[in-house]
Amino acid sequence: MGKMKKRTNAGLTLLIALCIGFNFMGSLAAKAQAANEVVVAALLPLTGTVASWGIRNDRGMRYVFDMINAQGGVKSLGGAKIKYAVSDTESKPEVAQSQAEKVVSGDISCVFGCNQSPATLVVSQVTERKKVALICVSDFDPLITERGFQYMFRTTPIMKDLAKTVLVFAQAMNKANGTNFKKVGVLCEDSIVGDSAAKALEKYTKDIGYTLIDVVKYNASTTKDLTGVLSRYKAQGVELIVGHNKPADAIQIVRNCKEIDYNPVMIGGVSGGWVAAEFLKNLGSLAEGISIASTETPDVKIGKFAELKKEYETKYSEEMPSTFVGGASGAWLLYRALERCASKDPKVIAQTLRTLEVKYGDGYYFQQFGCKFDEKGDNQNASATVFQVQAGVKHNVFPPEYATQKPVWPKPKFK
Amino acid sequence: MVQHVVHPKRQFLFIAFGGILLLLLPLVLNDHLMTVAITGFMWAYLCVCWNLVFGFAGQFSLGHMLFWGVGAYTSTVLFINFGITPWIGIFVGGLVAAGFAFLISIIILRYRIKGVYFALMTLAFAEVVLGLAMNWDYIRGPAGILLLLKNSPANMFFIERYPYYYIMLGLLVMGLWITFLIKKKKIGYYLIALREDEEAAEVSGVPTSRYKILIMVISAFMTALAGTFYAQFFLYISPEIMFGFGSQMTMLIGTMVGGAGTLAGPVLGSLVFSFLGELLRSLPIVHSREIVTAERMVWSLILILVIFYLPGGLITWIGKIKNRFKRSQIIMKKEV
Repeated sequence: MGKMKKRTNAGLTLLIALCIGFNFMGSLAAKAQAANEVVVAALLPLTGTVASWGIRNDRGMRYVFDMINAQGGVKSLGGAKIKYAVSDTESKPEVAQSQAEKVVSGDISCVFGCNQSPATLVVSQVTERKKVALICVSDFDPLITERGFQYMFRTTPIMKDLAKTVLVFAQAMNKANGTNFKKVGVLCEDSIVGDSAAKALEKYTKDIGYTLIDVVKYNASTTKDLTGVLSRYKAQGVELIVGHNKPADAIQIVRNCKEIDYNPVMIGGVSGGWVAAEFLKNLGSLAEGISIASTETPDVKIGKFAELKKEYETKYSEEMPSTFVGGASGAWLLYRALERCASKDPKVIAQTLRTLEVKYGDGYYFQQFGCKFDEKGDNQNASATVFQVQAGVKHNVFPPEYATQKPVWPKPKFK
Repeated sequence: MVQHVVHPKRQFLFIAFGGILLLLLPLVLNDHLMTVAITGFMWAYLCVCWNLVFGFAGQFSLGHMLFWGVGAYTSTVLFINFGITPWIGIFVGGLVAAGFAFLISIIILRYRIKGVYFALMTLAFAEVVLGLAMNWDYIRGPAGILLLLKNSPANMFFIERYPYYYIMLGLLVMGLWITFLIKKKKIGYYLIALREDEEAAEVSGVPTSRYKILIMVISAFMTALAGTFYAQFFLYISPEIMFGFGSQMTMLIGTMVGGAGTLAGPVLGSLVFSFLGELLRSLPIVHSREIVTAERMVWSLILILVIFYLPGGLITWIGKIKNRFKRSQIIMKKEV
């Protein structure tokens, strides 16, 4: 009986040790707050299916917070440093929830996340319950801000805005060039975002008065070749191909068009894989004249944008992606809120975010066109632009006030 | 040879102590640790469900996520569209999943599909349902279904974590109890005979087909209950989460690492993965992609080592330690 008691005690000790270990992180966060630091967490996919987006997002936030700390921290808080920590969601919503529970159990001031709509939907329930602001800089799912949450803020435009932009661009090009290309074929992946894009593209095609030939949604994880759909679109005389696709699929669409010698007037990508760094790298000259609606402004002449872009490209040897810009913009937005409210209290920060306005190009805020949240937590200034690949370089072409090059219309034929 | 029999009183005390500890655990856990425990129990329960089919009957199903997803979607759709409480929906989901399992089993048996083809067939069924769910607007396609955050115990929604903890713990205990009963009853012996040598079992008069269907139906029903729980706890389901292969992999790895065909093995394997994974995430080091990749490599290494050196799973290792301890006790007694 004595031995059993010993074993029981050992088990109990181990359990208590585990609990202490788990709670260690919480106490670390509390210590950080005491040491005049503002604790900020990001919940991002660093591994898993959407890791490439999360990694770039993390880089953006890290860059800006490091910059702020190097320049003396948050002045209104007596030079408080921003202590930024990222947790991996592994591209899984349940892991994201668990990580969210962990970060909000400490003295956290604000949370960023999650670069994956399902994870953001789940995490926002945790942050809402704890009354901590969740800033989402890159998820398009409309549901995120449609639940009446008070602590949910999204800086990026939603999918319908991006989808509308690419079709409005085509309309403007038709008008400016005296053409009348209006047969639209939608080709999207069957993810949440792809589905939103397909629905929005269908709606705006009809609203503008174009002819919708078909809406095709394919399984992104199993479809490796889109020649079949594209051949059909070619036969049906589709002039404008539009869609939201993963990086590999966006590349494949262009390659398949070339293979079947199909030259639509416009290949219009709607964010996603079309703005991924690997898109241009893989396609080279095949990407010429492709029009992409995005939150990205590749060569806009505003603030420190060019300087930031150069620095990024030197450091990482790749194009500066919109996910990095989103991360940097979100971090800058929080910095502005902290300076304004002079508080580490998450409720005060959330209150400040509700009324804060950050101009496009202010500091490191480069998501167009600035930020001001509406009552739902969506950014009412958020909008998309269209860029085109011309001579191997991305140039802003639409809307005209932010254009750095004249748009090419129709798209040049594949060589 | 000295035969060692576990004292029933000691066993009872051990279980009672463990039970009380688990019941009191929410008193010392914060929200995060509660979520870790709940998620850990959920995966452990799913491993227990899968273990019935694979561990006992030797049927290598790769489509159990289908039953999980069906459970989640049935109760959620019933609640959202018809106002039926998930307390009822959870059982309706179980019945629907059991129906699916019955149909799949009938088709598989009709065409005498066995071994690797059985695995592929079950996977194919799950893929078909995934494709349907992705394109079915009634269940909101890939966008998934979001449940609202509110406190409504009558509809299995709780703001606090502890009710979920007790529900999931209850399900896990129930799963273990069912496994225990199956193991001890005639059905358990039949299933093991089926697993070891199907033809020999048939010759010996075991109605293999009937028991294959039965165990698949029981397992599917149980798996579906966890699906409803997932929907109520995470408040969001989508085809990718519910019908994707990720959950099946977790069931498979947890069971294999812990010990297939045993009572506690799947729970052990699953909890080791869940809790140690969380412990690694909690290390006071800067979290970077490299660290995360290193974590994955450590896990893969553990898996390879278990497969090589402990083909029966971690449970056999614990058994070995226990036996060694008992032997040393006996030697000590003899010396005294």
